[in-house]
Amino acid sequence: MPVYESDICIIGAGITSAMLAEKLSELRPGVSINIVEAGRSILDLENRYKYRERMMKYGENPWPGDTIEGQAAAGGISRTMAVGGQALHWGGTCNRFSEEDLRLKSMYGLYVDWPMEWAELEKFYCETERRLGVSGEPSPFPGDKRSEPYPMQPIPLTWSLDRLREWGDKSGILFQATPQAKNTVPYDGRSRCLRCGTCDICPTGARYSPDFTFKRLLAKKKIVLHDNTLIRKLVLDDSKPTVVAAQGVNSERPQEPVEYRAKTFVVASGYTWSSHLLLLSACTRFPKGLANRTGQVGKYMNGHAFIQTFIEIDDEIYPNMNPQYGLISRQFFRCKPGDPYVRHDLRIWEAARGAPSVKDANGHILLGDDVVKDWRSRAKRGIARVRAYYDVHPTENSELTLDPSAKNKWGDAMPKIVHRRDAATEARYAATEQHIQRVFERLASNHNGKILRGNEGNYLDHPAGGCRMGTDPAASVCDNYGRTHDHENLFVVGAPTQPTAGCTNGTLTFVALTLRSAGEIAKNFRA
Amino acid sequence: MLPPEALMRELASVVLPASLGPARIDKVTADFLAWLHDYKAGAPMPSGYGFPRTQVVGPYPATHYAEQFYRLGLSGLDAAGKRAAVENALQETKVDRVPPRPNGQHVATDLMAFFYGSSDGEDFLYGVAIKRDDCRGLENSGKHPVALS
Repeated sequence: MPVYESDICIIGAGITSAMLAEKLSELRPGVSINIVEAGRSILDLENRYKYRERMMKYGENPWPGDTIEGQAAAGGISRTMAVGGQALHWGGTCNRFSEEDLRLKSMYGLYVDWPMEWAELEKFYCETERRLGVSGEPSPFPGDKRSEPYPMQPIPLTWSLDRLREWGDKSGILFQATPQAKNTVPYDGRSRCLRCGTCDICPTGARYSPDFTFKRLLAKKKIVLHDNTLIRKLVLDDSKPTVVAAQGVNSERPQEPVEYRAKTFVVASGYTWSSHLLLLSACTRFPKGLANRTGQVGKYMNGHAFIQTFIEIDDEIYPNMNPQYGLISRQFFRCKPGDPYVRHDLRIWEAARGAPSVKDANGHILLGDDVVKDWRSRAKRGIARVRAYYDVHPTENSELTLDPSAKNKWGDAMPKIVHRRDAATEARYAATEQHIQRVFERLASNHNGKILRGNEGNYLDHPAGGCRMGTDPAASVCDNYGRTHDHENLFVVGAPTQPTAGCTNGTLTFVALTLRSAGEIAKNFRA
Repeated sequence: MLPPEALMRELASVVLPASLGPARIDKVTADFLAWLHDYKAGAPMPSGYGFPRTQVVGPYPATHYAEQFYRLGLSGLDAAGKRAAVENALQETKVDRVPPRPNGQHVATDLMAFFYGSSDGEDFLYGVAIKRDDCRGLENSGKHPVALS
């Protein structure tokens, strides 16, 4: 069996892995790092225009081969397994949480507090924004005070977004451009944004994606990347509760298991596969799985719910001017203690006016110029897409479990995720929904707005959890650095450690937590 | 098999806006045929964020075009006759809106879907140059898109 040794073994090659490896290689330049990724490497920036074209013309996957057959989670919202992870497809939105997210128990008597002070997290937000290269503008709300400015000026608003911001502001709700991991000037060796409108595959590299970091680390020989290698199990030392090996299989040599040995192991496999690996690693001494003495692995899976609507307004709004860019209001991030609890963000995007018809109102077939004439007669007004992500809290049995009825080709049970909201969240649902509808109505009260149609998400977005951080081992898997309570040399980083998913996109937050973990992991090695 | 370009042009002259002009109608026709030629049925679609299941590009849309053209019988008809033939066919298909992409339901609606679903088609509807498929730079994004003449 091939055995690879290193100081640190990172399992997973997504955005948290990239950021962790980069920072560790800076803090401890002599440390050896193996990164093991189940999926393949997609490092060919030069082919992105070609991939983008196929996506635009035919709807094809712009990241070919980014999934593994049979490796899927019931209840998950992504199949991507590749070097770069889900951040390959990422839109680049980099919103911060707010202090309230970390103090739910002490401010509102709800759920739990995060085991961390806001000022501490804020420092790492700044570092994350520097490393990813975030462009943004300061929030108009004093509670969103920053200790450092954004590294780059915001992406200019399009004509449509400018109109929509003016419309939003008229309702007394203050909007700003959403911060983006996209360059408005050349930054960190990558080009500036050219407004190609396909941020899920940015052909210029202006939108950060982890492949850039991995390529750089590989070129400098700071890491050794083992792709196409699925880690199936972590193995403990015979006498101590420390992890000594990660065992897996390379898809190109399936008959030959492979082993990685290291002083420190870091599970950086995202909200699904991190808990999954710990559960799969059950052994005699830890029959429920590693880091799972108290049965907390896979628990408190979280995310946020959302309600969306389309509002027609008297404004000249054009779609696709910069389709993955939009506005955010942080006005509802804060809720006064004592008031009914409801916290949410509020987002606005430009939207299209609907498809042309083949039939007129009387059912007569439309052809040629009549199609255009009919469409223009119906599509005189602008359309805004409006969404609110609102804060919900999980129960303990909002969980990821192993599903023995679904196995991959190696015979490993696949994960099953079922999200459940706690009683307080359920009890306030009607008031939350009513509040958000009133916000939509408030927006629609300007520019002769008309609420067209809406829908509520049937899943929790920006998912996280499963290896919740905390101070009490009976109620958490790891400490606030991601060090597991049960194994001193085993860390979990990124989204799985989040106790909650806040009420806005999570990437900036879980990367900030990871960078904080990097400092702690580095302490295990001499400078 | 791809339908003959001449036949597709006859259809295009009925379903696409005459105000595009003959040259652009011919170009849309040729582009649609090229699009069909390069179509890969079953190619994987995005499986990234928000796509829990692997999905694939749908079946080849042109499978029944020959039969549909045969039933339309456009050859030899004058402009009014062609229009009537297409109207009758579309009444039968029960399609109300132009689909977002060609889907094989009928060659006439597929040709419309190809045009109106394109960047040029979108610009034509809105009467301005949004140019969504281009990398347009940030400089002019705050300006009103240029009106099409």
